[in-house]
Amino acid sequence: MSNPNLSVNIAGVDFKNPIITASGCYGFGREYNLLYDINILGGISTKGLTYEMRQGNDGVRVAETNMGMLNCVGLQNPGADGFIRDEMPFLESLNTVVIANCAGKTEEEYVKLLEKIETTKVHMIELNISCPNVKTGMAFGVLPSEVERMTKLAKKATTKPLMIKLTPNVANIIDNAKAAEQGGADAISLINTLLGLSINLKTRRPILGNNFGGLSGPAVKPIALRMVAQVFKNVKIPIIGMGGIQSYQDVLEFMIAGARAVQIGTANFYDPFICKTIVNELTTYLKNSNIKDINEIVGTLQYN
Amino acid sequence: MKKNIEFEVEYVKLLNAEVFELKLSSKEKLPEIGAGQFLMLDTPDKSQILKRPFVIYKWDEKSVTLGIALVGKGTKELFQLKKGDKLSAFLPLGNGWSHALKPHHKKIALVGSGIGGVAIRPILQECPDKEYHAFWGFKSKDCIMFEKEFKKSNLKISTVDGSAGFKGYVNEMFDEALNSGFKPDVILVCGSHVTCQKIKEAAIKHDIECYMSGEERMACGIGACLVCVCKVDVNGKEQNLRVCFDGPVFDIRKVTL
Ligand SMILES: Cc1cc2nc3c(=O)[nH]c(=O)nc-3n(C[C@H](O)[C@H](O)[C@H](O)COP(=O)(O)OP(=O)(O)OC[C@H]3O[C@@H](n4cnc5c(N)ncnc54)[C@H](O)[C@@H]3O)c2cc1C
Ligand SMILES: Cc1cc2nc3c(=O)[nH]c(=O)nc-3n(C[C@H](O)[C@H](O)[C@H](O)COP(=O)(O)O)c2cc1C
Ligand code: FES
Repeated sequence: MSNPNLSVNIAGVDFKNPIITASGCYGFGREYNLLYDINILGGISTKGLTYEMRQGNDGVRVAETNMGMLNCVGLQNPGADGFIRDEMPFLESLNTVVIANCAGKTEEEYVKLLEKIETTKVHMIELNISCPNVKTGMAFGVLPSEVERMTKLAKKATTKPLMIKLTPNVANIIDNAKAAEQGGADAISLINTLLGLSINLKTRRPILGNNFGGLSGPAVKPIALRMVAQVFKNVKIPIIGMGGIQSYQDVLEFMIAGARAVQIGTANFYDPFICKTIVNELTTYLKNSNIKDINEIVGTLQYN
Repeated sequence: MKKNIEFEVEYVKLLNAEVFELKLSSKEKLPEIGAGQFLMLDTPDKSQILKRPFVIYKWDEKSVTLGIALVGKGTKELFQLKKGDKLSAFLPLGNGWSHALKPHHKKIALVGSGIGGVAIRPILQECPDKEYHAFWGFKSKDCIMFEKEFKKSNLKISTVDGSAGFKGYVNEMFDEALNSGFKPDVILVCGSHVTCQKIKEAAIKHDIECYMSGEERMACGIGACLVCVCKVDVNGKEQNLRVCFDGPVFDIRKVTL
């Protein structure tokens, strides 16, 4: 049989396959490019960027949990200028889709950042609205009305395809996804990490310096998958699914639930070659199962 | 070149009540390893997803030996391993001591406490032709390790309870030496946070170059996730550098401890 088609199109951007590395878990790709040619990837989502450079949180930033981990890195990043000066030349030299994960403390910071990124050759924006708004203390992405407002604001500040990354720490993920679509988002990605806590029994204090942190890894997969399936039923724009993916079977589950592509984060930490392995195994699976085009399986979930 | 290597357990051997040696051998030739580099080791329980970082204590073309302190779940499982058990590790990681050691460093002080010796011993393997003076601190006589390893390095031991060697902390023993005229070209440190703090003070006071091997909790081990940072002065500005990639060896005078 001829080689199956693995390429997917999301908001006008062509990905050679649906395997994208998740923001914050792959730096800007350099470290992994020393291990294997990262051009085999469908795409890379950068570490969360802010307009000004940030040092991130103090204290312990990681705590292991059963089948997962908590982190509170807190958006340590080189800022827009540092990103453009130090990371863009490398990213431009790649032959894979580059997604800029954009964050901020205030609306103004989001807008200023997006205007800067507009001048680069980044292919797509992933708006990270899981960070707290310094004015209200609440994450930008919690209330559907805020999601819609932030999407509109971002849409005005960029001409690049705009993907909104949803946080799972909300009352109803469907409402938030609809709000993003209503605001003019070109795509949705989900899920960001789930808020969690881990306690040191000796000190009776949280292990993480920041007290609470974001849970990721295989432990979150069923929740992520459920949310992707729910969102798929309720919006028309394409979905990039993530949360706990560590095998090609996991990728297929997400795609059947409705994701057109996936992102892989935490699994890179415990298997640095995981993305390469998954691209290869996915190709073999399609060949062996006589699936000519991976797009055929997207959203084929049949409910009982 | 960083590689994922499938290892087989050769032996597990206690060094003292809380520390054991784990020797792992591989069928394939290992990538080149430098003194002070570390690896990320799988633990047998797959529900603990993260690998554990350990300094490569001894090595040759096809084997590595680790010195591991029993502290939590993962290290206790590693202690249960039997000859022939399989597990994989990712190596070699970090910068190691080579960027700290310069040709003009002829007389070298090795200072630290407890398990920290595993990070220091590799220097003796890599640069055997220097003049070493080791100052090592332990809690008490029955915790003493590395005597054989540091035999040719003018080893001086301190114990907190005074059951062997100098009575007190290693930094006190080291201060005494410095105050009575001992002046090494460089000090290399690995030990507890307090030990590092105290030796840093001494190095500044006596104006001696000083490097440390640091430790932070890790996830990726290769510089991508930013969970392992420590504060380091870079051109006059404090920045969060990655212990796994920019370290673990840092100029101690630049590190905020
Ligand atoms: C670069 C480096 C080199 C190291 N070399 C050695 C060595 O040669 N010998 C040795 O005995 N120990 C070494 N350590 C510390 C060792 O990694 C931890 O003691 C070990 O990970 C604890 O695992 P656990 O499952 O028993 O503990 P748990 O507390 O059950 O582990 C829970 C999580 O916290 C992490 N963790 C807990 N304590 C530490 C710590 N002190 N440092 C880093 N991560 C920690 C674990 O890796 C794991 O992810 C090193 C650490 C680093 C960063
Ligand atoms: C260490 C770490 C850092 C992260 N940083 C970011 C970030 O900067 N921006 C963002 O949108 N998501 C960030 N995430 C969330 C991931 O991109 C992803 O949404 C989440 O981890 C779930 O996927 P996984 O289980 O495959 O890791 C981070 C996750 C981890 C573990
Ligand atoms: S452990 Fe990931 S950057 Fe150091």
